[in-house]
Amino acid sequence: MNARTILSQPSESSLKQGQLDVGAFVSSRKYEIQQLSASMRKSKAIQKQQTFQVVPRSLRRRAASHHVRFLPPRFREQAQQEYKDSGIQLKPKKRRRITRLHLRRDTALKLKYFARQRKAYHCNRKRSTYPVGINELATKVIMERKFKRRQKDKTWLPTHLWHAKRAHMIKKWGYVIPSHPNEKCFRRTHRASQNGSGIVFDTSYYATMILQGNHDSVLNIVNIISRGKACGKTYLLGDRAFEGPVYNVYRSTAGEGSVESAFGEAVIYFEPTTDLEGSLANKSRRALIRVHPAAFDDTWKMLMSLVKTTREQELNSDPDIELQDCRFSIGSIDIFGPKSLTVIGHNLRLNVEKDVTVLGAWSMATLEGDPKLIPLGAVFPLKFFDPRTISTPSRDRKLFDSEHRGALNHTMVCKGLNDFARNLGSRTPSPLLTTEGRSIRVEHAKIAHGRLKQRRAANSKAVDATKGNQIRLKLESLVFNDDVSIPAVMIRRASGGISLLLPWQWVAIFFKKLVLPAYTMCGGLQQYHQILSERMLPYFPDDYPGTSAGQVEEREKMTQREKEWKSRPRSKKVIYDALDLRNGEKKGEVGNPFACDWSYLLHADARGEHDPSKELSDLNEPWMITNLAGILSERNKLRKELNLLTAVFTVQIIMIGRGAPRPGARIYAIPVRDRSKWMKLKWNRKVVPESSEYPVCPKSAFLIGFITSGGFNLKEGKGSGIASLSWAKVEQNGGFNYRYCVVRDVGESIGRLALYKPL
Amino acid sequence: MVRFKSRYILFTVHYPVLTDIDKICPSDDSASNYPARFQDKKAPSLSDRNILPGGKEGNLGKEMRTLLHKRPAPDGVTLNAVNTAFRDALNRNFGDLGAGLVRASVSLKYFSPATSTGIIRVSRDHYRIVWAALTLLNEIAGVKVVITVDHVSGTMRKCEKVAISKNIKVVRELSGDL
Repeated sequence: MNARTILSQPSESSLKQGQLDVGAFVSSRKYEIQQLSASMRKSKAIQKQQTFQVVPRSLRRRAASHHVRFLPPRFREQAQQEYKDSGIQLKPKKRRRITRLHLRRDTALKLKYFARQRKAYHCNRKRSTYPVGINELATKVIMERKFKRRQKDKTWLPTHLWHAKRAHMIKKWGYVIPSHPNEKCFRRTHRASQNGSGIVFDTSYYATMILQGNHDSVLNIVNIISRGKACGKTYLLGDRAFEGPVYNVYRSTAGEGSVESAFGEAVIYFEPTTDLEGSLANKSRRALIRVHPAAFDDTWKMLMSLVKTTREQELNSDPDIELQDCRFSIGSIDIFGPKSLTVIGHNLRLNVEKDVTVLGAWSMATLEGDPKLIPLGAVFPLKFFDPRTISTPSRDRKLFDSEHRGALNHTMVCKGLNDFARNLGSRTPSPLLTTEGRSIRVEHAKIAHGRLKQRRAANSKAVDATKGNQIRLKLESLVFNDDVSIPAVMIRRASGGISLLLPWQWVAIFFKKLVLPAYTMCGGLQQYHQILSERMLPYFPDDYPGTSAGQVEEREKMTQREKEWKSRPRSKKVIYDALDLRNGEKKGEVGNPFACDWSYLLHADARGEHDPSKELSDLNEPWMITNLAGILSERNKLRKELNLLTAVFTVQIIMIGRGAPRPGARIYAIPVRDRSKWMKLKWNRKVVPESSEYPVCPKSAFLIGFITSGGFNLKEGKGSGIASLSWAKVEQNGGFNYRYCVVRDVGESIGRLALYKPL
Repeated sequence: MVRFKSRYILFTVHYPVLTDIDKICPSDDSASNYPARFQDKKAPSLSDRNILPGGKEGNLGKEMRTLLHKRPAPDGVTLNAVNTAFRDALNRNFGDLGAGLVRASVSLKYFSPATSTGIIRVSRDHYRIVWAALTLLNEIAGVKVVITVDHVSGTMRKCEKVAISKNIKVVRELSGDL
């Protein structure tokens, strides 16, 4: 109980011989404040039971309750003491008695191991890097040979083992990808990506292709697949990466009923050159094309056929043009969050080739750098040293203190970034794009422990020499002989995050260094989806029903939902057939309740009757409009050229008032005579769905689209979502200028007022 | 199992009759910005004045009132003295029954003579008895006192927090900014 006593001062300190000393009076009050606070802290500390309750939730392990090894190093000593005190049976390390039989067995194992190593070494000597398929699909990489059997029909990401222990994995698009971390993290994701330290994803599943050939032919192909959008001057110079839709060349035939069909979004990056004048026609050029794996097959086939045509065409044929499949030789890490640059700058060592100004600019940029300050699509070809040479990825919380923010303001950071970009020579091609450039083997680069110690000693000597002037730079000030330079490309994405492209074998190492300081969160697909939804950006493939990848995804989700629904007992699920919308139509859900029913939307006739046997075929699948404004302005002209009946465009939905729409929610246009009723809801909060004044859901003829992603948006503070609306239906039901709509979840009878905004 | 619930009572002791403070002087620290009244070399001298409102000193400046209302305890008013006086009051006002009811659970957790603030802990069932006893207590070790209860709560922390916020207010008033 000693710790619980609160110290106090005797009154003599301020009251002496009849003199009340004001200063002492004040300080006695301050003293009391201190003592009371100390008492509060102490009592909290006493109540703590065990060390592993102090450990942050994400680092807690069950085995840590009796095994000190499973705690983070800084807690181990404390925990050891606690276990001794509480008499927990600690598991001693198993020790075998060494017998002759054991020795023989061990030797045999060692010999086998060495034999395997030697064989692998000889095999690999010729091929020093991970496989690239030239004009053919690459053979996939097996990550841990020990687990070869598990990777027969799926591909593991480089960080698979790390993620498997911390996240729930799913098999998608042939890859095993983390779906969500083991802990619940809806708000945590929001905080990490909005105000906090950042959230990191391993996005090596993104398919990378390199198109290599003559400048003209490469330009031509890129022109075709992006409809000319990716060929602007800044893109050609390699200053910026283009991020936009890649079109299906073979679907959009001219003439009636043609369709502007896109495969999905791609990132296209031309390898930089310094000059665009002069005859470039025959200079060799590379373009990096990154696509989501769901759209990879289609894009690959299309590109291959374009390459083939280019090779064999009579005019300007380019026999050397090739398409490299670098899916398993270039991996990437995506980072979101206002402190992403700081995380990169602090945990990875940049190789600036002894250029001090660049180093200064880099530190300036990364100390406070918000990736939003970097222009969209900006590309930085960087070189990093092996991050394992950094002794401690800093747990330096001071860096992440909000007080620090006052120190540097925007202009300084921008200046830093500018200097950095200018001096780094963003016009130099990155070795990442060549096979030779990527071929730095992880094992060869690994520096022995003793040597690391030497380096650290040399480093601290150098720091002392500069009198600790630039403490942050201390680890990067010295470059040693055995430092290996790893090429990377950093791209600022439209979604607001940063993509760091790396050679496949280095992704795991970089990833661990970015995540290890336990304040950067790591996420899975669901978190990526959540971040994009919060920023009201569409997430591929869920929000792209106008692409075949989107349709496949929708179908999968439908089967999943239907299966789950069927397996539940009747009393514990919504019976869709009995849904009464109270708007005069027959009972039941509109369309298939388990999906965004596009076939219903696009092919039902005026009465709302729909022939379910009329499935979506290739001809009447919805296709996505990527240029809404353009089509709106020329709709009469284009009406003949494009089949607008099945066209679909993406919108952002924001709820007015309550409600958080879920995927699959139905969207209705508001019939003209009901508009005033719905508008009243906007101002009058008292009208509640239960009251009789609340307007009834519009009839199914007014259905205009579906929500593809939705939920409560922590950034906006209300429900929001991404939806796709049918062009034809919107036109029929009130036009494109009246943007209010009614959103009704599947299985609900109440519609809620919302606003849509086309992207 | 029903939990044992308690109440923590934060109280301040006031001394309505000033017998021992003759002078209020600024501290030697000239850098601090105390209100002007205290910067005076010739500090006001006080003796035997009643500082309760209505008394002659009822219209003292705000800072003076702060100081005098929350003055340190005079000699003799210590933790033990408060304890004894309090138990005495319990006995006198509530008799054997009252004193016996609370005796097991009541304890004076904290008392600071420098600030005349204290915290008493009682079981939740009988805290009103303790509160009443405090109110009725009018003399500690020969010094006339008036006790006001500032806060009652179920946890010690909250009482501590309130005490801290009151102190911060006082410090802010008397020293410009903290």
